[in-house]
Amino acid sequence: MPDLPGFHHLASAILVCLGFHAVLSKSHLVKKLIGLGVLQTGVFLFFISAAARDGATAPIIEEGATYAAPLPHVLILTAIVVGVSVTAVGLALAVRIQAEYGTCEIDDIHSAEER
Amino acid sequence: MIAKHLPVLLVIGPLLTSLVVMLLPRRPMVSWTMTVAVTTSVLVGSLALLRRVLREGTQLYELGGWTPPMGIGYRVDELNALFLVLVSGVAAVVTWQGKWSLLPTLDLEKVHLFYSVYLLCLTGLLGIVITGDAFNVYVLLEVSSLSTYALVAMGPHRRARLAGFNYLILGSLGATFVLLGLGYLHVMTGTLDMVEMSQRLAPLADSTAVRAGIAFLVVGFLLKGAVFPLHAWLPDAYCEAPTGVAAMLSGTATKVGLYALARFLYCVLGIELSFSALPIDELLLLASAAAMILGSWMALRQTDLKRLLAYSSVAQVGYITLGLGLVDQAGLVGSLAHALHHGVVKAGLFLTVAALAFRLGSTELSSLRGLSRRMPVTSGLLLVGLLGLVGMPLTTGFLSKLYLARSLFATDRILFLVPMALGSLLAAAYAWRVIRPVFFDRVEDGPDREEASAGLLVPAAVLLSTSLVFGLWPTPFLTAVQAAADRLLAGF
Repeated sequence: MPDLPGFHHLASAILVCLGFHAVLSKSHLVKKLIGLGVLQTGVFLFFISAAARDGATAPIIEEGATYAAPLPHVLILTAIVVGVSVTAVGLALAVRIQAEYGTCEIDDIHSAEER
Repeated sequence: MIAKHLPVLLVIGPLLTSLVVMLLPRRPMVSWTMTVAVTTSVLVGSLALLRRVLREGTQLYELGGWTPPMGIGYRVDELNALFLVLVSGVAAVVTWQGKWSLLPTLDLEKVHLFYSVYLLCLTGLLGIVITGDAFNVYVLLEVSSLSTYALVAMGPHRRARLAGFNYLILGSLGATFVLLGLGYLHVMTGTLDMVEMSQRLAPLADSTAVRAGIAFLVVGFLLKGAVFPLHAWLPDAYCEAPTGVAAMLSGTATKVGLYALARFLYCVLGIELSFSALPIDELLLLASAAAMILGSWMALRQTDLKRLLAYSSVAQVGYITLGLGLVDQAGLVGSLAHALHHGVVKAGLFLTVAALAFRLGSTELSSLRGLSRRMPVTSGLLLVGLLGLVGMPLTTGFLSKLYLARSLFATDRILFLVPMALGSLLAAAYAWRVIRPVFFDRVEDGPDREEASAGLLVPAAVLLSTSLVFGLWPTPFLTAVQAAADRLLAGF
């Protein structure tokens, strides 16, 4: 059991909250995607800091050394790839929306829809 | 050889075919034929696997020969075998109809890309259902969701892009919550294998970290399953997507989200932790009551058939979660039976809509007037599907509601009969709003009889008749569902 509280945990919680707030409150589609990126980064940091140990090294077997848990790093490698893909698909859609509506502001899109 | 590796072939087959379809010559018929071939084989494989599970019990498969918890294991029991059959069955039938409904609407240069993404989506859905590894669930959830966003955005109107984008934002929030929840559970248990995780979680019921993880996980799956009030993405996504894609999504995507929810609540977290230590059952019951009433009410107010069906999905998900929140055998049988019933019937209805939209060029309710004279077979299919949604006797929907009602009496929650009855009455009302123009509005000198082609109608008829066949002859259906419900109650 790692000792949970630490400043990096606090940082990850702040990133998650900031990202979540941006996703919900921003009206520009690209800003929503940036918020999503910040939120995901917060989650990545949570995993990575959970793997850290005091005085730990890379997990290469040596006598008497403590290792950082390797598994969370590997998981987050996958999650980062997923995050990049989500951003790519989201930006591609934003480009199409900009081309078809002439704007990426959600309010302008809705008013264009009602007309 | 094939028999031994069957579980992994079900996932790898569509994955590799997706790549091949993308790289092969850009001939629409080549892409379609390959997709049909692989979805049909996956259906046959899933049926073989279900038969094996019902005879021999749970099947274990180790990926690459690495034994869990070191490697990733596939665990196929009665529950996921049934959902594999649902997902692959709906996908196979929807693909068949695609040649007549989807291909004419797509840009010929992009057909191969469409089917490539479609197969990726199927890979993800099958993977979530079959895997026994918690992190695998997250990765495959994202594989299926990412491809779904692209599929939704391929709809004909520019609104489809917006619907796809909104679904991407909400879907990614849900998936990130799942990831965060799994993070907490992994930190506390040190494992990702579902069975091992369930054993290590049992003594940790009082841990705040575990509870926080469960909260994130459950919210993530509720979003994916479009459980009220987290259903906001669903109506636009179903309505703006190409109708064939809507059929695929309504039959599989939300059901897989709910499968994952049930698997985690009952098996990984365990009944003790989910429902005694935490009040998830009350939460599910309240959300279900709201979904059944408000979803049906919203469906009643729509003027477009596709949108009406989309809101009816929000309501029908309520019946599935109601059974999950009742935590007894009859309730779970009702819930699982309703998931299978609704998956098949709603996919069949969307395929019927694809057939009539092809002739009428519109899905507005007002354009359906006098349809029964013009397209009698299509109208008949529409009627069967709508009666299935209401839960009329002789359809599987009646069986599931019967079990749900029985469980409400058994668990002393008779009060919840009120939203259930109200939801069914409203369902009858919105069904009537479709049936009246189709069968009872006379149109003078309307167009002559011009039925949709057999290629459009047969797939819809196959799905809708499944509901009738098992409604009339319920024993094999209920036996399998009961085995799955017992498996859920037993943990693993």
